[in-house]
Amino acid sequence: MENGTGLAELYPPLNGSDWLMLNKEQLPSVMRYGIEGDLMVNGIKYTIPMSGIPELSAVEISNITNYILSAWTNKLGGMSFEEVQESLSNSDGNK
Amino acid sequence: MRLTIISSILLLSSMFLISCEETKQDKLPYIGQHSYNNGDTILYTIPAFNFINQDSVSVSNASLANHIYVSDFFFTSCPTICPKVKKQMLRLYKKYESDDILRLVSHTLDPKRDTPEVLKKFAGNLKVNTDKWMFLNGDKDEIREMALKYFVAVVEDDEAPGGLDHSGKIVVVDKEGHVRAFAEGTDPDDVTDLMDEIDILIAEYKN
Repeated sequence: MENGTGLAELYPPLNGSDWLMLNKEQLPSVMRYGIEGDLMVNGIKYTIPMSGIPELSAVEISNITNYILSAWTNKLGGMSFEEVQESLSNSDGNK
Repeated sequence: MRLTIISSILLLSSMFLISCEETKQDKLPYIGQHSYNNGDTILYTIPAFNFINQDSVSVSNASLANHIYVSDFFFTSCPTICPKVKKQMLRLYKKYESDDILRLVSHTLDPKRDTPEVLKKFAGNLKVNTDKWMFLNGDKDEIREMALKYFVAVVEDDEAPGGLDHSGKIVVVDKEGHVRAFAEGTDPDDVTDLMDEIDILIAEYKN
């Protein structure tokens, strides 16, 4: 969403997300492969599976990751391209 | 000189009148391919349908006949435009929450995966009342055929994220089944304009 707030209890926020703060190294992998199973974000349990977008290249994912980490009120630092590739090599961590 | 001033005032005021007339619309147009029979115009109408909702209860055009409704097409696992469209549908839901004349109707394009049970959970997570905002499931081909009637193109495409390419149109249908307005559901400004149009349509019935 435009302001990173997610949507009700369907889609979790990316802005001010405690999950992202603790699991930022997983973000590139989630973007490519999706995520399913229960996801606790800021005290709310999200259960709808979210599909990945496998068409995104590693470079595109790297750019989006670094955008999200510093967008809105997020100050979660940056992620190197090597770290992004490392995350993308792990497709099973999101189930 | 005097004449020029008077005539420019006249010109200005007539321009003002014209622009007032243009912005103050009191009836929405009828959209779609109308047909003609012996000089009579037969307005484009959404054909009869019969789908099931999130509680596996039948919903048809007849059961919506006392309501204006806004329609969209989506699927719960859609990774691209659907969440943005749903956010706009939620704005519409909230704006008209207490006005019983309006209903919201979301059709799943992935009825195999989006069973009534999945749709019910989706609605629950969205925190909406399903008497007002219903989520419809039905035969895949029938729903796709129906999407075309709402001017929504659907193309199965393995290359597209989520496997389906479709447009995010939000379409407004009046009590008689005529299409009266639509917006791109991914564009918040377009949906703001749509709200003004819905207000005009509601006024048509209340006056």
